[in-house]
Amino acid sequence: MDYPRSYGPYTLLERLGRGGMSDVDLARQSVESASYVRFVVIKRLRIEMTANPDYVRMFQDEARINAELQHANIAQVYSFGQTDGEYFLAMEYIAGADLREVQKALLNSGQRFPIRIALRIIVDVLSALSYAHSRVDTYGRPMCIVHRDVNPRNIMLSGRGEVKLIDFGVAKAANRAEQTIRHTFKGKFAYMAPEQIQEDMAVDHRADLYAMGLVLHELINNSSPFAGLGDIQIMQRILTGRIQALIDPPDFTAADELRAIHQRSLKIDPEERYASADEMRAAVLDAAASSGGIADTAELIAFLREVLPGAVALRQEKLQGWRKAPINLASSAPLVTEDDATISILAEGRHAVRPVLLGAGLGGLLLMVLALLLWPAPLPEPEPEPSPASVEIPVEAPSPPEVREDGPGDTVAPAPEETVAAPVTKPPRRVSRPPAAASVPPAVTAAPEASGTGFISIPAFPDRGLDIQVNGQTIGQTPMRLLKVSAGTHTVEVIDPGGEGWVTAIEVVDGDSKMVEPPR
Amino acid sequence: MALAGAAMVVLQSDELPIYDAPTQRFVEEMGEVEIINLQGDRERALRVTARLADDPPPVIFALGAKSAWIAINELPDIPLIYAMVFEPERYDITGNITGVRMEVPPALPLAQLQLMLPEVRRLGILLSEDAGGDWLDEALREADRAGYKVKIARVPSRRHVRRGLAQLRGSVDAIWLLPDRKVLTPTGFQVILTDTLRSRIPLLAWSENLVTAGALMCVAPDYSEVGRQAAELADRIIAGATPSDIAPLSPESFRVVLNRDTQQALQLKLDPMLMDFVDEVVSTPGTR
Repeated sequence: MDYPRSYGPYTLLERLGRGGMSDVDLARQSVESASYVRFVVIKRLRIEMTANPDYVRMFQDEARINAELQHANIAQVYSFGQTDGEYFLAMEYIAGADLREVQKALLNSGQRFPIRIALRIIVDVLSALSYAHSRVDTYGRPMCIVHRDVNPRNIMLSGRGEVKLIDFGVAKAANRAEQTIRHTFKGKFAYMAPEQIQEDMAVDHRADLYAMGLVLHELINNSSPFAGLGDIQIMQRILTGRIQALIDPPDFTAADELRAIHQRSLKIDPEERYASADEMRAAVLDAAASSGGIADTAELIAFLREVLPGAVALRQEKLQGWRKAPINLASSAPLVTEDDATISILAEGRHAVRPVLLGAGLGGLLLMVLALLLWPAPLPEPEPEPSPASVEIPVEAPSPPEVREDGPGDTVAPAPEETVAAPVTKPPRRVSRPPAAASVPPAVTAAPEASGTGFISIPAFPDRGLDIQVNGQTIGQTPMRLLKVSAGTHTVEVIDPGGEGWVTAIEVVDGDSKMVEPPR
Repeated sequence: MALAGAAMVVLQSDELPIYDAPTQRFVEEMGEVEIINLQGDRERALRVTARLADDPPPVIFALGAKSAWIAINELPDIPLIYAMVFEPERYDITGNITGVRMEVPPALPLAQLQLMLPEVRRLGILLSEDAGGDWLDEALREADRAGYKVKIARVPSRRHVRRGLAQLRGSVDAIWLLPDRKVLTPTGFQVILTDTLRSRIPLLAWSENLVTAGALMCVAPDYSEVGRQAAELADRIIAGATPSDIAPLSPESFRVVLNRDTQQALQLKLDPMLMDFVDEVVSTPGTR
């Protein structure tokens, strides 16, 4: 997709990410008469996903749940609608970094997470969760919202010193229409409460508090309690409660109180955990108060600038440029939206705007045909392969060309305009040449019990560009198609840079071609 | 022979969009390159080759059979790399040359078909009476390995395509187009396309252009990668290798192309996950 481009009242500026279901773009929304500009995140359910009603319902659920949540520590959804046949969400753009990025930056520079900053983050996220957990609908009925995916990637720190919880994409709510599609990623076990792993157990808001206990653990101990463990080991640790204790943060006098909070939030039995996010938040604030308190907004701003100086400055510079610059765009289809808190799910009618045509259209195609048909006979005959035109292929082997029969006059150097094209010069660029493109990687052998070969294809789930390991061997990135494998059973793992992902086993028989089904 | 310092030449047979990607990649890799498009015109081709004979480039990268053929015949002393040519031997494109072949191993489109349309079990192949050889044997072997039941309809010429289709009708779930040029003329293709759309039978093709023209899908070489591979060959030639000593390269990277209009016309429902494995979704110009 080209950027920038018009998208209803928005101008899509750049791609921020691509998930298994949706594309996420940064966009500008301008109201010229009011000299108003704001940046938003546009999350677009990919057009091919709209064919599957389950995905559409999940997307609609996300919009519905988010629309109910308006809190300083939750990324807000501004509108939900449909254009060009695509469903989209316009959400608050948080210029900053997620907690995982910050953790990595600190780790790379050998620093620990400052305790005041860590506690501020915990307090703010608990505040967001408290609000979501206790949200009631228009009729006063509890919505029973559970985020279910609280982890450092879903906690954003903004350059304005804000902490925001994002991505209620897999949140559970009492009135959620779609409950059937669940994503259980390998690494996400690392933030799951015991009851989430045990499928027959009810999951409520206390699962989010368990996840907060793990986030607290990471921020204080500087690593996950499950670092380096496989799925099975992580599950065992969670189900048996074998999680190491918090270390004593330097210069923090309430370490015992903090340890107690950590232990209580990670109890196997939800009944033994804090009853609410508010209760846990109050405990954290109490512990912090006795040891210097939590960071204020100015500290958070300074912290982020110090840890990720380039990222924040570059982003701000870029936004400034986009804010001021006039942007030339192509227009797009009209947009159907329902804004802010009035969001409801729209009818599924689509605008009849067709996707971009590749090639030159019918006229171009005919020209291609003509170009080949009109090639004089003596030359080697039409392109073998080419366009539908090239389907015009020689029936017989080419006859020898009547090359010089036109006389010497035709063999002189061409007139200048007939030199066809000026030399095209680009700076020589000796790019590194990969051994082979990812499309058809080398065969993987690992299943000695069967003979023959087959193919497996691995989808971009939950995202593109994630590392793929087959039988423990890294063989490329998602998506990968037609990977030649020996017949037999293969273990496929998809792992993101944070060590999260999913794992499955697939059996291939000779001549088979299979898609590896990710967990749902 | 090659003159030091002269720019390499990309010789395109025609104004075809499929030449853009390999040309662009070759230029990116090699730096200074002169691009000449013969525009399908024989007279122009002769004028161009005469000029190149006077001021020979170190290497010619010919895209398409026409440019390869004219180069090998008019400029036999200039090292030649060809690409985008199916069955170069058929056109007697031989000599002091090397190139990047276009043949896709038959296991790949079959595997893709199995993935996208697992319900297809019976494949039809339309061939001229004398078509055959190693490529057909390999195709049939792979189809058998993948568990497909194959039915071949042989016809004397392109004028008998309808008769061949009638033999296949009702007994196949999909038709696999193989590069048999006695059958697959523009007219022949149109007949096949119309008939299969009417009978809702998917067409598995071997080229992106056939998919743009209405076949359901293909696995085709990645043309940009073809340009990169050609640049590799050019490097070796410039370093002193003789083209005829370098075995032509097989494509290393492939693309899956799907025609959305055809998919809809055939009323085929594809799991959205499967779209991850499609590199390009095309529409047939003028169908909407």
